[in-house]
Amino acid sequence: MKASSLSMRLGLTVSLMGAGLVVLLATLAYLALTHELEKLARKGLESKMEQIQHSLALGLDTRDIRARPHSLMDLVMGHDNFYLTIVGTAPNEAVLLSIGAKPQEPLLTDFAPSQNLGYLNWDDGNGNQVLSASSLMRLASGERVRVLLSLDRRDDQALLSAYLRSTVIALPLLLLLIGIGAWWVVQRGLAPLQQFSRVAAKVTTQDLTRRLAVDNLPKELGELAQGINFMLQRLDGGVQQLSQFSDDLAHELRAPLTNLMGKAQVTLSRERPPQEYKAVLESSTEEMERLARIVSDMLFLAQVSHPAARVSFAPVSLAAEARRVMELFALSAEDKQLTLSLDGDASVHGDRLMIQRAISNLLSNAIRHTPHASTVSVRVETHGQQVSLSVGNPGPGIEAQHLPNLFERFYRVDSSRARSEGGTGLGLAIVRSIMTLHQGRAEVSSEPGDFTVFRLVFPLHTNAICP
Amino acid sequence: MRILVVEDEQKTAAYLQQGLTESGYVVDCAASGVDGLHLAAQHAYELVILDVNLPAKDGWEVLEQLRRDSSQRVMMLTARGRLADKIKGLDMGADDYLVKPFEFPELLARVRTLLRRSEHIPVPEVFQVSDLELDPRRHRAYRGTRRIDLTTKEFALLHVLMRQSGEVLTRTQIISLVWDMNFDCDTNVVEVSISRLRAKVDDQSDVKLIHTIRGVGYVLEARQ
Repeated sequence: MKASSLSMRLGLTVSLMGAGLVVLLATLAYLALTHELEKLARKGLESKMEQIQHSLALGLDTRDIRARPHSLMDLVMGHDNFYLTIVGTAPNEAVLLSIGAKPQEPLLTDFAPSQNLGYLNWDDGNGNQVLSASSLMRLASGERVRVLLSLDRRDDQALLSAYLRSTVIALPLLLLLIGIGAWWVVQRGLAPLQQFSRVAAKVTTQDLTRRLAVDNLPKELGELAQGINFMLQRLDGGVQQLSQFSDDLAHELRAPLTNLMGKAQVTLSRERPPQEYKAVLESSTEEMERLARIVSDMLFLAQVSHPAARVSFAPVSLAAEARRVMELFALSAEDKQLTLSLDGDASVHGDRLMIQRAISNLLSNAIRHTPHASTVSVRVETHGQQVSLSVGNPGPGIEAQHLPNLFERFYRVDSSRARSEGGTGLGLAIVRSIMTLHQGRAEVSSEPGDFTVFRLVFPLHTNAICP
Repeated sequence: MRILVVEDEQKTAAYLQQGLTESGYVVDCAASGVDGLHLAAQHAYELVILDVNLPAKDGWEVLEQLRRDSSQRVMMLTARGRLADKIKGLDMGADDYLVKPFEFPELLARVRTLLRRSEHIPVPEVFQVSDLELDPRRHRAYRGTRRIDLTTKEFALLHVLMRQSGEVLTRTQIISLVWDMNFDCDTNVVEVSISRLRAKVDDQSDVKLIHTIRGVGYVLEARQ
């Protein structure tokens, strides 16, 4: 079936259901009315017949019926829709009395001569329904006569047909009303959806600030709107972060590029002895090395953050990897008279190289920020369903306002310092990406002026299948 | 030894040719895949350095055809660093795979390794450069008659430098070979180690053997 408008479909469905209901009710009413009228007519006939029986039994004989029909006439004549015929019994079936203009004789053959009241519905040929009743009655003289009383039901018929007519006229109007009502109700109910689509049409990557109005929405749509708003919120955050990121990236690359270009141009602007050229090339190479490092870090981040990044995980001993990384940093630590300590061990499911990289980034930060002659401690612990590797060091610490942003790309607590020390500004972002890939997280807590702890939290590796 | 460089970016091709020529190789350049295949069919190259992004016929197609026609060694050079690309390259028969940006000394080292595979240079039992001697099996090093006392890592570093004497080793290569860390770490361990090693090896001699090539790396050789 072709998809049509929801309001049209609902309106039509409701109209059809309404139509069915109305037709059913009208039919029931018609049937009930017919039945009641029939009952009333029979009751009327029955009581008249009783009265006729009564007057016949009060001492009329067949001749009296013919000669003095007044008492019977009084019974019937008051009502212009009664017809009475009295016929003698066999052998001489003469008509004794006939009040009213209907030829009723042929009807008698339809009734069996009986003491019981018999009824018959028939058509008088002009389209009028007639109800007749007949029975055998005993006169005071002991003779028997057949009495046939008919009721012209013209009025009942008129009533019924009037009812039918009004129903037929009212029905389409009613249906129209129901249809319009249903359409209106549905339109009103679906009005928020149009608001949704208006907002959706305006949402672009440039403008993600629009939100759906949640007030006055029915509960079901309200939940949907809140869901959509929440999604927009996250998209907005993501897009802003991306644009901030490319901003930062351009900025990060611009500084070394400006240096390189400026230095080259200054050098080339006049003749110099070869050693000077050599010195410029050497310093350029160092600067370019930093550029290359930023690019490889970015590539690494993109690779790790890519949802399709498939890395084969294997059990990795955190202490063993920490020891290897610490071996690498031993000399730098010794230079600053630092002690590196390692406690505990646990196995996690992960990629060895990436875990080494994460530990290395934390350790190099810790060594850089630890004052002379103190201790950087690495601790591997298991808490419930989590394994954590923490790198703690005394030192100036990090102010609380920086903590939430520390793992953002290119975020620097002191913008001038870290760059001169050669970092790319991506170290902690890489740590976070690596931890996300391992379904864990990276945390930091710091007491300014006292102690700083970075923590890598891994889910505990059970033997269950891992992605 | 003859090397073919197939690279459409002129500057890259130019410095590769210069660098490799100065290292003693005969180098030809081709700027497109079609030219590359043409040259490869005419000369017997020991090694083809092949870029992936090439006009007309890309590196994968060239590699496929090269593999069909000859047994030349192929090193792929590309800006695509994804693991899937690397695996594809190696699966298709490339002998090595280097991702841009790379450091030239690393390229040179890989070229040497690739070309060495065909020859069989016997590994000497004792390395000797000038009057510096290193015996890996007995874990001893001498400068002239003076025995040098080295830590394990210092010994490994000296071993690496002497084994590749005359070749420049970058910081990354040294970290990979000595500390077995195969990613870019933010540490001055190489600088510190080299300066300690230099103090033990060179400080008491007039002939300095360990040289820093600023911006590139370190080399151990006897210079006149």
